[in-house]
Amino acid sequence: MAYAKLFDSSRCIGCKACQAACKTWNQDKLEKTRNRGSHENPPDLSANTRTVMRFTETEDPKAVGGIVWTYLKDSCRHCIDAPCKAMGDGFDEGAILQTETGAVVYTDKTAVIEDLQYACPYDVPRQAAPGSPYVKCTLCIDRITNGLQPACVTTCPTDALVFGKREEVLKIAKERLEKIKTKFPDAHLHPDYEDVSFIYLLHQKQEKFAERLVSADHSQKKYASRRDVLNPKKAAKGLSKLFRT
Amino acid sequence: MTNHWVDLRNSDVILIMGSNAAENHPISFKWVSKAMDRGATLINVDPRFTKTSSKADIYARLRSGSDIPFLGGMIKYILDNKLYNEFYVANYTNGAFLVNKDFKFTDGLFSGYDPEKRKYDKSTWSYQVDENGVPIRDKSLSDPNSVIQLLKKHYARYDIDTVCKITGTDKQDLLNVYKAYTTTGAKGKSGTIMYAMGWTQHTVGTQNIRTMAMIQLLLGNIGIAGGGVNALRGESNVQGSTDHCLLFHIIPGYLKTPNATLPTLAEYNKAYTPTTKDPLSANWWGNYAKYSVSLLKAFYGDNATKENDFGYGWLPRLDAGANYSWLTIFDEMSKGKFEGFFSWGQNPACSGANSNKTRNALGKLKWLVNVNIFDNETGSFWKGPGMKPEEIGTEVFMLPCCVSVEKEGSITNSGRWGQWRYKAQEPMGESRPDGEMIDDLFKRLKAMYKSEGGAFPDPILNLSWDFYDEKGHLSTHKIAQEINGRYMSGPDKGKLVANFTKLADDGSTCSGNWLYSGSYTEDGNMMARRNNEDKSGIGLHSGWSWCWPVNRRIIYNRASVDLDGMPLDKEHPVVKWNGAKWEGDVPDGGWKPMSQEGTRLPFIMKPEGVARIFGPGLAEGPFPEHYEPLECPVEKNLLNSQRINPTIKLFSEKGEGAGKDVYMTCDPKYPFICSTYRVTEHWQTGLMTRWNKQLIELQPQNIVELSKELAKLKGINNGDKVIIKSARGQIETVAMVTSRFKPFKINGQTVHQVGTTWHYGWCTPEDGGDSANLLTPTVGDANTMIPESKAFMVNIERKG
Repeated sequence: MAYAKLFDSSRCIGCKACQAACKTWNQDKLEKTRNRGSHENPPDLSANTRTVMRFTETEDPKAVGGIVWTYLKDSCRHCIDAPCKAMGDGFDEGAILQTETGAVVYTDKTAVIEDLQYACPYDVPRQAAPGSPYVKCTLCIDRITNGLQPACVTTCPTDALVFGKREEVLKIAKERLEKIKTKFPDAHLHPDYEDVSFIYLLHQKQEKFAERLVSADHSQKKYASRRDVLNPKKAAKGLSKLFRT
Repeated sequence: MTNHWVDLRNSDVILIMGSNAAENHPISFKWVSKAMDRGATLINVDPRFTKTSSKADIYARLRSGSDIPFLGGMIKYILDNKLYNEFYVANYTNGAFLVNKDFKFTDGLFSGYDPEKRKYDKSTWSYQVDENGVPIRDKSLSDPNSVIQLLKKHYARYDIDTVCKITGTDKQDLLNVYKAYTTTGAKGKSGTIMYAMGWTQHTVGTQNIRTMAMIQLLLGNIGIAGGGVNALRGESNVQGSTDHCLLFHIIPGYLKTPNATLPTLAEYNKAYTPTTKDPLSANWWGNYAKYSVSLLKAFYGDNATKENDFGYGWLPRLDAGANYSWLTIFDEMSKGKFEGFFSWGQNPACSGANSNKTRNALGKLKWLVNVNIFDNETGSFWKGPGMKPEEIGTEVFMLPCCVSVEKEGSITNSGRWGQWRYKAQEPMGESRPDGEMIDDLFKRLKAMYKSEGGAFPDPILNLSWDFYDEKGHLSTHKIAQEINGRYMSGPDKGKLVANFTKLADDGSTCSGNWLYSGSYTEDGNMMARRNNEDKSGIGLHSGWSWCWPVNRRIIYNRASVDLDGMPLDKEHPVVKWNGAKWEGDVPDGGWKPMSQEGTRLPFIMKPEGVARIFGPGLAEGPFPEHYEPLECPVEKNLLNSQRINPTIKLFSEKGEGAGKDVYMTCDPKYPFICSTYRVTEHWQTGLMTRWNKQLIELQPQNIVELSKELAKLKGINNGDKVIIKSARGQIETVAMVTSRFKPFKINGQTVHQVGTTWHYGWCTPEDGGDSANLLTPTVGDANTMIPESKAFMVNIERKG
C-alpha cells in the first residue's frame, strides 16, 4: 500500500506544531538554541531534529501588503527510488529500508555509512557524529502501520498536512491546486512530486520559499528539482561520492 | 463572543483586527480556512505584517492606538454611501431614537464633563420620550436629533484624508478595507470581527470595540450566522472566570457588587433592576432580583431568609465610586496598604503593567501566597534582579496546584461553550486542585472564627458549603449543580432547576450563576454532552457541550429575521418561525415575530429592547471618539483638542525611574512606539511555557521586531542584542529586523514602531530576557482599567 503526505503551503500558518509533535512522538533530544533574528529554531535538521519550519520574507509590490511571507516544512521527501538507499546499499543492504508504504526508513546500521548526506538531493540525512546512525523523518512508519496518521499530520490545525493513499493524496493535491490558482496564479506542485512520497503544493514561486526547497548540491550550485541532480552533466562533482566504493 | 468558533466558517468577510489569530489562536484558523474555502474574504489590519496578514486577501497598516479613527472612518463611509441595512437599523437598533436636545459634543468633550473629577454627568445622554415614557422614534432616520443623524454629524470629521494622517495607513489600502467589509451590509451577506488584546489594551479599549459593534449593527451583522462581535479570549477558561465574575465590580452572572450606598437588598435590587415603559421590550434584566436572591441562597443556603435580607448584609461592599481594579491594587500595595496577598494562578511580577512597580509592591507585604504550578517571578520576586532579600520582610508561601488535566471540571471557551473535562491522572507530588485548597482554607477559617470570634464572623460562618461526595471529597459535580441551581423549598425541594426561567426572588430557589442555569439539570451534566451532529447546517452543534444562555449558540438571533420571523439570510437561517414556534437555534426569547401580538423586541438585555448605536453607558461618551494613547508620538490629536481620554484615571508617583508612574510623550528620549504581543510557542507571561524545554527550544529568547529602516538608523543588525527602554524600565532582546514593520507617516512626520513579546521572565531561561511589562505604563482603559500595553513609547539601542 503506497502512501503519500502532502504539504499545502497555502494553508500553513507557520505554527511549528508539526515540529513539536515530531519531537514528542520520536522522543528526540532537545537542542540548546538561541534566537538568531528568526522564528526558525532549531536552525537546521540534525540527529535530534527531523523537521524544521523555514520562514522566508520577500518584498513584492504585487502581493497583499507588499510582502510574501512563506512557511515551508522541511524534512525528508521519502523518495520513491531513494538515492540514499542506493548509496547505503553499497555499505549494508539492511541499513536503509525502502518500504511499500513509501517510507524510507533508516536503521542503526546506517552508522557504517560514510558521507550519506551527499547522496541526498535535499540535504536531509544527519548524524550526531561520524560513526553514529543517520537520522531523519520516518514518515511515522510505526504510526501509519497501526492505523494512525503521522504525528505532524494529526497535529496540524489547518489541514496544511494531508496523509493517505498515494492516489487519493495526489487527487486532493491536484484539486486543491486548481482551486487556489485564481488567488495564487503561481501555485504549482513542486516538480519532484512524481518521484517522492512527501509532496509539496506551493502557492508561490519556488524562489519565495527557503533556498533549501530546491535540491541541495554540496558544490554550492542550486537545482530546480531532483531530476537535475541526477543529470550527470549538472551533478558531476557531488554525485561522484554516490558511487564510490 | 456573540457567536462561536465554528460559526466563523459561515462568514462572507472576516475582519481580523486587534488580533493576530494565525499566531495566537491557531485553531481558529481551521474555521477561517473553511470560510475562505467557501469564498470568504479575509481582511487583516495591524501595525505589523503578521502570520495572519500572510493569509489575508486584504491588508492595511495602522499605528498602534489609532483604531477609532480607522473604524470611525468606516462608519462615515457606510453612512455617506448608504451601505447600512436600513431595515435592521430602523427596527433593531436605537438608530431611529431621538436624543435629548441638550446632548452636545464640542471639540472632544460631550455635554456634562467635570474636568476636576475627570468624569461625566450623563443625564443629557438620554432619549426623548413620549407621554408614556417610551423613546420617540423617527423610522425615516431623518430627524436631526435622531441617533443616525447625530452619528453622521459626529463622524463627519473622520474623512479619509484625516484618518490616514492619524493612522499612517495608505489611502488605497484603507478604501480597499472599507469597500470589502461594507459589502456585508447587503442582504444575505455576513461579516464578522475577530479581535483580542490589540483592541482591549488601550485607554480607549472599550470604545474600540464599541466602534466595531456599531459598524456591525449598521450593517445588520448581529444575531446572524457568520456575524457577531467575537472576542478571542486569551486563556482556555478566562470566559468562565469572567462569567463567574472574578473581578471586583461584578458577582457571578454579571450582577453588580454591592456598594456602601446600598445598605439593604431592596435598595440594591432597585438600583440595578432596569425598568422600561415600552410594552414591546422584554427587558430581561428586569428579572435581576430573581438572580441576585438565588445567588444569595446559593451562598448562604437556609441561613439566608427573607428576614435577614437573604444574607445580603454578609456580602462585602465596595466604597461607592472606588476603584479596586488591578492597577489600583498594586498602587495601594506599593504604598504598604496590604498585609497579605493571595496571588492565585497568576504571575503579576510579569503580567501587570509597570512590573518594577509590581515587584517592589510585593516587597511591602507582610505575607504573600503564590499558588502556581511552577516557580515564577512572583513567588520568587524577592530574589529577582535588583532585589535585596535582606531588606524584604515579606513571608512567601508557594503552594503547588495541579494542572487542568489532573482534575475534573468545566472550561468555558470564547464561544460561551462550557465543556466538561475529565481527570487524566492523579496530581503529581504534593500538588493539589485549587478547589481543595480553597475548601481547606474555608474549613480552617470557619473553625477559627467559631472558636476565636472576629470582627465579623457571620459571612464565613453562614456560608452554605455542601460540595462533598459520598466519600467526603470535594466534588466539582456538586459545585456545578449548585451553580445550575435547585429548589430550596416546595414539592420539588432539592431538585435541580431546568433553567433560569425557574428562578425566583422569594428564596425558593438558589443558583450560583443564573447564566449557567440549565448546564447541569435533572437530565444530567449538559456540559459533558459529546454529540457532534449538526442538524442546523450552520455548525451550531447544539448537542455538543452546553453554552449559556440556555444553550443558545448565536445570541440576539431574533435580529436575524424579518418582522414575520423569516430569516433575512435564507441560505444560513439561525431561527425561523414555522407558524406556531421557532425552529433552529434556541430563539432569543420564544415570543411571536414582531408583526404579531404579544411579540418582543430582539435585544432583550437592553431596557429599550433594541441594540445601542448611541451608547450612553460608557465612561467617555455615547459615540467613540479618538483620543491618543497616554504615551504617544504626536503632540496634537487631529480630531479634537483633548490629547488623551478625558476620563482615564491617572496614577503618578513623582520622579523618574524603575517602578515610577512616569509617562513620556513626545520626548526625544523615547521616540518609538512600542507594542507587546505573543507568539505561538509561548503563552502569556511564559510561566507555564518557559519551564517546558521543548517550547524553549522552539522559541528560546525574547525578540524585538523592527523595520529595516529603523535598524539602519540605529545600526542594528538582525540577531543583535538590543535593549528596549521606557521611562519605567528596560529589557534585553534579540533583534528581528524585518520588512513586516515599516515606518509610518503620521501627519507628515515619520514615526517608527517596534514590538516585543511579553512571554519572558528572569526565572528561566537564563538568557531569555525579562518581562516586557517592565516597560509598560500604569494606565488603563476608562471603563475596565485594562492596562495600555499596546501603545507606549520606548527607545532601542544595540547592546555593545
